[in-house]
Amino acid sequence: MRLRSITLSWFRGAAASAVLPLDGKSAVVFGTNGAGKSSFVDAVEATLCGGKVRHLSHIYSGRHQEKGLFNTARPEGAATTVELLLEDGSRTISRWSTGASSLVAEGASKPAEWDYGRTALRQEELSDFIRSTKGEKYSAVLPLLGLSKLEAAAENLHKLAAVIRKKSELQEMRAQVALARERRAEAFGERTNDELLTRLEELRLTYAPATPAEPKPKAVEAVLAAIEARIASLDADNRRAAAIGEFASSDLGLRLATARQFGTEIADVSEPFIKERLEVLAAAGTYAEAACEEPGSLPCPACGREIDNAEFRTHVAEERERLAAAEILYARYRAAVADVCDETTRLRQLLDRPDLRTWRGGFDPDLSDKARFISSLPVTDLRKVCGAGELLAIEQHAQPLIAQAVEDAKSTPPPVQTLVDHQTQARALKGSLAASLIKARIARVDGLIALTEALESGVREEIKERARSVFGTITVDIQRYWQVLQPADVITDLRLQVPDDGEKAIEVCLRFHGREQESPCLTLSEGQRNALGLCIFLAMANQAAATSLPILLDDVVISFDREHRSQVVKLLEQEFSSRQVVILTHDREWYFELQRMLAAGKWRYFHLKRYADPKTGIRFTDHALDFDAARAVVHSNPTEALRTTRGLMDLALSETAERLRVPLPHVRGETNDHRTAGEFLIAFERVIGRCLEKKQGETYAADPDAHPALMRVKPELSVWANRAVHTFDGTPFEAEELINASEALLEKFFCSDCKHPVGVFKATGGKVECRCGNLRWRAS
Amino acid sequence: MSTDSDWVDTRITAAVAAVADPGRAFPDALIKEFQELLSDELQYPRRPAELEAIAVRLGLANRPAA
Repeated sequence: MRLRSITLSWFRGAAASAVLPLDGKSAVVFGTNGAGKSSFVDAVEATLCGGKVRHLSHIYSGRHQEKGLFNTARPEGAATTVELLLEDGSRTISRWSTGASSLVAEGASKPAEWDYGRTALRQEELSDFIRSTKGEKYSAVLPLLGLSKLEAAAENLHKLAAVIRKKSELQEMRAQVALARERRAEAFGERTNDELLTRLEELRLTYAPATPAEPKPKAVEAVLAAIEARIASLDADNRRAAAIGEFASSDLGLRLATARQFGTEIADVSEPFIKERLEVLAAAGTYAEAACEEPGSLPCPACGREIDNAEFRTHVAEERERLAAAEILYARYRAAVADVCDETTRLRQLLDRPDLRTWRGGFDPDLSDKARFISSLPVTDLRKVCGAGELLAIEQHAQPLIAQAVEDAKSTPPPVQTLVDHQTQARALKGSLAASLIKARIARVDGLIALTEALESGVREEIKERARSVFGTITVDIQRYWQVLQPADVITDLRLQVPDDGEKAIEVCLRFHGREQESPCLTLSEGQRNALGLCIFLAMANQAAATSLPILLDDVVISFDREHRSQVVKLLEQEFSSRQVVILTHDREWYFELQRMLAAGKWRYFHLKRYADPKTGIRFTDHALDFDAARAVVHSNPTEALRTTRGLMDLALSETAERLRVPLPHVRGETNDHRTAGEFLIAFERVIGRCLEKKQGETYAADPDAHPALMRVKPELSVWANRAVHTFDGTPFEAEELINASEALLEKFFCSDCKHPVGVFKATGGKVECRCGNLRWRAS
Repeated sequence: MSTDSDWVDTRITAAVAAVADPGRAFPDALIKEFQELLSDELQYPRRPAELEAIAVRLGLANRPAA
């Protein structure tokens, strides 16, 4: 299956229409950074991956990621579309609008069913692989094996468990249950659950026999309401006695003691500090796990001092445990304070009851002040404002009132005292039932977290199984491709290392020059890791299910030197000559090299113009040396325009001289690779007048304008551009003149009919020509 | 995803079997949420706000039937 064209409309960098007309051929697409070449790969990825583009997923969420896919200048009402047209006429059209997407496929072939992981390789996937470090959790090899979705699934589940833990306030709920357990012990001692339920049933039968026994929370509410009603029906003296008894039954003292106990334990620690330290330690833990695989020492991330690896890891682990325990303590303290506030609020409401007016009337001035203080406490916001100072004030004011109530309650008539005791018991039972509900909630959250974690383990297991299975089938190909890319370096015994520990990444192991390597990061250079990553992807692309699919390589020679980049061409011609390959690059030098090295006729070449703005969108130009960037700053920064032009001419004349085999004197050392435009102009000056020929009818004649064009550039480059490079004082006139003259000279090497440069095709007699043969270069 | 999505059900069944016990059952609605979460088209790194929304949905789905 071959792509005939990729057409974008308001997709990513494209405006109304941007077409890559491949015509089923392999192609090289050149564009400077931001010119829009990756938009074509994004388009393929979005079509194959249900609208998702991996490198955008960190920024744009939602099922359709539509915000990331739209060109920001898209007119109102216009659609964002991608069309993949295949050689057999099949086409797939993807369309996105806010909150919706659609995909229409016509014809026998369905690109949406292609495996993206075996179709396209992008720079970020390779650079992740190149820069990954041994021992980290993220497995950079998985995207190359087409398993990035599973990795994302596992990572999402991992983070989700943490979010559930945090959002459900597990620690707070556990603290509430712990306090309720204490309340229950105070009220009922060692009595069992069954005994408590029996007691509840007795109270129900006594006070609310008409209320059903189930659900129990409703039964206990009915009992409390019935007791309240009975107390309300008593005469004024007995109501007063009941209220005093109720006041006297307060366990505020115990609640305060609990809060004080936790308060003392955390007196020296502030909560934000704990959270901050936990975050720092989490990062340090990851660092320690990544950096401490090997024995020895490492610089402390905080102070830079060398620390023994094992000691550092132990220390970090201990600190994390200690601070996590402190965080739990804080939750318990907060729950204890809330408990005190609830009881204080109850006492405040009791004190304000009319039944206790005569009781309060008998207080001495000091006790009256204390009662007034309790009555003045805020009812709704007490929990929010209650700190250590407030706890102390509550204790100092409420405890004497409770002591007075205990004293006065001694004369409570027995039947009233029984009502008060039953009320106290019912209240304790209510608290106990509420704690049971919280416990059930905790159990549900625990279950949810356990299930999420078990699923994460399951997905990681799935990753391991698939990685093993896939890798086992591609090792032979990888080693064969490696021999082409890195002929001087022998790797053998290539295999995956799949750690049992879910916290560590899957790695590629190999023998390098006969020596065992647990990870490619340990010995392989950046360029070698680049080669290994590329080999893995190409081996995946060569698997049975993918052998007919096109291959897209987007800036994948990032760490290769010139020599090894040439080997990529060899590999593609040797192993993938029957496939459609689309190479996208921002490297002008490699682009020219590819033009020279790839088999003529099989490949097409496209050059993108520098990106202007979203409204203008992606544009193609006739050749890769466009002077737009220089022209854009002619007036604002002429010196920069002169320098840019000089840089382009250095590269263009170097490439042209190499392509046309223009003889240059050999210079010892690396100077050969660093010649400037001036040196090439001298070389061309000698030959351009007789070697560059244009077809006129059936014969060829030298181009009479070629030599004058060169002679116009030569002094301008040597004087104006050189001066701009060294003295920073170019003028707009000089810049404009040099750009025009340079463009005019370079145009001489391009055929005005077929738009191809002279030299891409070999002709007879040692001559080379353009694609259509109208422009020719005679061997000099 | 490169292979069929049967693995999702297989893994969910295995995870439920690993953590469920007589005192802990998972409502069908919860299992459906996880099936949805692991469906092929939703496999991309989620942002924190998305994860929070998912956590809320899972919490709601995990409630016992009224």
